[in-house]
Amino acid sequence: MLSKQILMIDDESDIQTVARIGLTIMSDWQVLTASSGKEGIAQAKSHKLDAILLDVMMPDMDGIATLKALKADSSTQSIPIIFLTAKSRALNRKELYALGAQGVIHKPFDPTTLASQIAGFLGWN
Amino acid sequence: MQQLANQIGVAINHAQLLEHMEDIVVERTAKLTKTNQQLRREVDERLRTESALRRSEKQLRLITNALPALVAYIDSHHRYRFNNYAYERWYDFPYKHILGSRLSDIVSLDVYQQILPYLEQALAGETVTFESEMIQSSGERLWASVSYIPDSQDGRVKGIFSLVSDISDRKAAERMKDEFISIVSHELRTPLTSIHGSLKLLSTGQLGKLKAEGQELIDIALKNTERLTRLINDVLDLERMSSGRVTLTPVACPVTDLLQSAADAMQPMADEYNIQLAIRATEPLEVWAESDQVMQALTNLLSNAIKFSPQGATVWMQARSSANQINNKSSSYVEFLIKDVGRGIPSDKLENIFERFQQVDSSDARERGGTGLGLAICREIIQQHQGRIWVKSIHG
Repeated sequence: MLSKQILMIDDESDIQTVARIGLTIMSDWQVLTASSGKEGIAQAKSHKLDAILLDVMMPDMDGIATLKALKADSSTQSIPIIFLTAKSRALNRKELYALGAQGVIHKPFDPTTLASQIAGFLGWN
Repeated sequence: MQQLANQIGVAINHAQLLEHMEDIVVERTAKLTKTNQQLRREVDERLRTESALRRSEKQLRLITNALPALVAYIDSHHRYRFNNYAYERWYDFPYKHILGSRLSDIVSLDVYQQILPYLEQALAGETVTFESEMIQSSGERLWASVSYIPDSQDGRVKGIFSLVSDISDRKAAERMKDEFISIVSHELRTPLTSIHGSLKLLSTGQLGKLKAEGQELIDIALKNTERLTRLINDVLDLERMSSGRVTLTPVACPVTDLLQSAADAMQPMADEYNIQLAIRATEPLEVWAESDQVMQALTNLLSNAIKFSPQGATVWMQARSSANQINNKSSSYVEFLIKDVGRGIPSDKLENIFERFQQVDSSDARERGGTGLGLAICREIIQQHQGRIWVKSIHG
């Protein structure tokens, strides 16, 4: 069985590294990274992705604008998107789901359970 | 002789009649004088009252014209019967021009349609207060707080007193505070994500085994980043809730689902502390609530119950319907109960435990990872749901 390919879009390189290492040692997934919405969209169009982990607060093009752009493009609209957010919890989560996210993970997240959280949201086992 | 006698008799009668008439005139004159004096007193009184009324109206005008807020009286046909000078500054009409005009002639169509339901509510006898965005004659947008107070006379509403004040500064301050909280939330949680994540990965041993002391240090660092995370979450949650700007969207929530979800969420912690979680038989009730917020309150209470219970003990959860009489009105409530057999709370601490940063023992923060805000958050959540939270405890 082919392993999953995940794209992590976050402007914080340290968080990219933590997530990448966590996903790599706790699963057999391949992890790509992008540091901006624009870079992420380009990666999404040129790779076959199983999911996107998307930070909400980014400069220039934030997570919400990035999601809308991905959903508006026929080549990327079906890729499931899980938001990573450092904003306040309960109410912000509802707004993000309403935009079409498959899941919302709050920062700081646990990198040792990140893979199982993503699998839980997307029904992978 | 007879004729003379008759004439004398007539003269005497005339004299008697004259005297009688004089008496009547004197009496009537006295009455007229009295009535005249009374009338004069009444006229004087009326003149004094009118003078007092004019002075009172002048004072009212002086006071209302000095206010920056719009003060008006609008009758049941939506016409202005009184307005203060501030109307001239807001609408660029001479303020006397507004008197007698209809409300719809003064404010824009958008604003009129916005305020019409509130106006009708007030004319039906209810005091209403609301906030609305308005456009001044200069085109400048501002936020206003509007109050309509019905003027009831003999059981009928004759009109309303209207008070409109500019709250744009307060709204701007609220927006700045929201932005500040959002930025602080992000800026605190972002480095914590990297620190906590790195420590968590190192502690698994999958990136190389550490010596026992090294592992112990990693565990200490990890425990304290988790404590810091909880503190940041609690402070930001409490700030958001107590600012009054959290809008609840309650739905009908099955009570058994809430209890089960809370128990499931706290099961890992219960396992760590060797505590049993049990749900007592609960009626099939529904509660009108924001489910995420109620879950947060229940998990906070369960967290405390677990932390302060002896190992091997059971923490019980239950919900039941309850009725209450408030202001002669009967209301139904759902009562959630969380019961533990921990050390209890001293009676002198019972009143304060729902305040911020209050803990029964100051070592609780260090030893049990408490922030001192959990119960304050519970109270905010419950009060926002128009509910009540309390504690019964036997210390020791």
